Amino acid sequence: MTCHDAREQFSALIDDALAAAERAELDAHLATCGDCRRELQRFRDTVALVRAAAPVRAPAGFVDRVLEAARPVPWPQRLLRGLFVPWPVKLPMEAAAVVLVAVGVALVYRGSPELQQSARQEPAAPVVTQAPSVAPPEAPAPARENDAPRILYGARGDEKAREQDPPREAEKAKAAPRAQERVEGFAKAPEPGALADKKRAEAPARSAPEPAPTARDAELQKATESQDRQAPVVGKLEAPASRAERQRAAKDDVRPGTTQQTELRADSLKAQRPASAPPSATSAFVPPDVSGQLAVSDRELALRSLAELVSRLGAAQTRRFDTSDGPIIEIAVPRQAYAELNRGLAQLGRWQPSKEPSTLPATIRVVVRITS
Amino acid sequence: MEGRTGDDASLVDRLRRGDPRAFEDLVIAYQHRVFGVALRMLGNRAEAEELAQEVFLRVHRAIGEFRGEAKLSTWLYAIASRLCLNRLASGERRMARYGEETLTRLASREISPAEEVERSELETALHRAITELSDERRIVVVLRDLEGLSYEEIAAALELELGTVRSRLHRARVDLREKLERFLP
Repeated sequence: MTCHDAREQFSALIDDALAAAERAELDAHLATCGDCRRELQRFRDTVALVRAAAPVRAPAGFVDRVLEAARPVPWPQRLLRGLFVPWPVKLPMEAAAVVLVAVGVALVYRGSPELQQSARQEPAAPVVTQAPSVAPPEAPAPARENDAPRILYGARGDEKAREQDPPREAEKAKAAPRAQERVEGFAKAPEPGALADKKRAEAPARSAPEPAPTARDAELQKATESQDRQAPVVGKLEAPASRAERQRAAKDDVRPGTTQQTELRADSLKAQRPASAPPSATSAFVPPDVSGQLAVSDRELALRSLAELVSRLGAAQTRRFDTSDGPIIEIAVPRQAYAELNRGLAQLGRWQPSKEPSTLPATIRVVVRITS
Repeated sequence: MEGRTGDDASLVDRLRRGDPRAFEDLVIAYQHRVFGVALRMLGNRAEAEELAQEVFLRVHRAIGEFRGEAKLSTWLYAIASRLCLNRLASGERRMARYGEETLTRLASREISPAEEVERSELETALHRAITELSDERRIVVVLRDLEGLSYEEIAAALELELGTVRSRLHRARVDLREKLERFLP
């Protein structure tokens, strides 16, 4: 046995892995070879060094992490994991998104009464935009331009103020005569003849000059059409009534929906007539007593029939707007003929009037929106 | 480890019966050994933990396939060794295998990924010497001299002939003897 052959057996010798014959042969060589004995010793020392290496320990928490990873996952969680892997990075983002959406929804929900309110007040915009033509000539132009946002802003602000302190609203109404004049101008614009006289009796404090009704009507129509065409036209006619509505809304803020708008207006009339606000501020403006929608199959036929009905009853068509949604007719009808007008309208088509005020004036102003 | 055979048998029975505590006991019993093999082979603690976890998850899934012909520990070592060698052989490793430069840097840093292993100069040199072995020699040394498996167990775990195990082990020790020369008495 050469030294090389002997040294090839060292590893097995250390591990007692040699066959008896191999072991005997190697022992014989080692007995005669000092170099191989020394080399064997170094070999043993090397293996001892390696075996003495510091033991490795698994990191803390390893068992828990393995168990967690091995735990059967319920299927919803598996689905979520599939959607949102990797967990550690994406879950917080998803959670944050969910929280954000939830907060957003909550805010919108909380804000919705106000949104509804402002939606109802939206028709106030045309009044403001056409203000230059209605406003008194002495009103300076720049002030008028600035009025628009102020009035819009004031509408909401007033509403809140009213909720907190209703009497202050009356003072505010006094404090903003120019805006009020515009509303007055709109309200009284279409009143011709005897009816207008009657109205003047109800509204003695009116002071703004009256431009030609036709011109104003054209402007009103333009402004109306420039507004959201999807909005109910009835609501637009109610624009002047928004003040009263807001008063009403302050009392009962949670009544949503456009179906109650006409009802609101009727109520607001009641609310307004005995209003504590000074006459100069409120009595000049009188909204229609009744308004409603008349659904017909033929608008032209309905218009002709309505004209006949109006003349037959001794009533008068005081205004007409042609909107993209259909014509809107304002009729002044004597109280004794009002029931007949209602019946006549019901015969023309599907007539859905608002709730009537409990006390009808001698001449009732009825706004009919004709749709097909 | 030899003394654990009876424990392993009952552990395997419990695992097969679906005893929920059995798997935890298995991980507790073998975590350091499996992690040790992975760390010695991969040289990186994070990667070693990931691989060790994978070993146990495979055991968890495949316990029904364990025939009981080999010891449970041998089966675990076999899985760990195979995963390590596969990972080392594939290009999937996130960390490159340590070259000389990496090892030098690793050894000179105060806190290394294998800090526990490299606590002393000897440990550092030892770790480096082992790491520098070829994969097939390193796994044999690790299983034999660090984990204490018999030649037969190593042959079973690595699916090698006994002679091959013996030969590789010898070559590995010769390499180590040269590298650790200065630490020998």
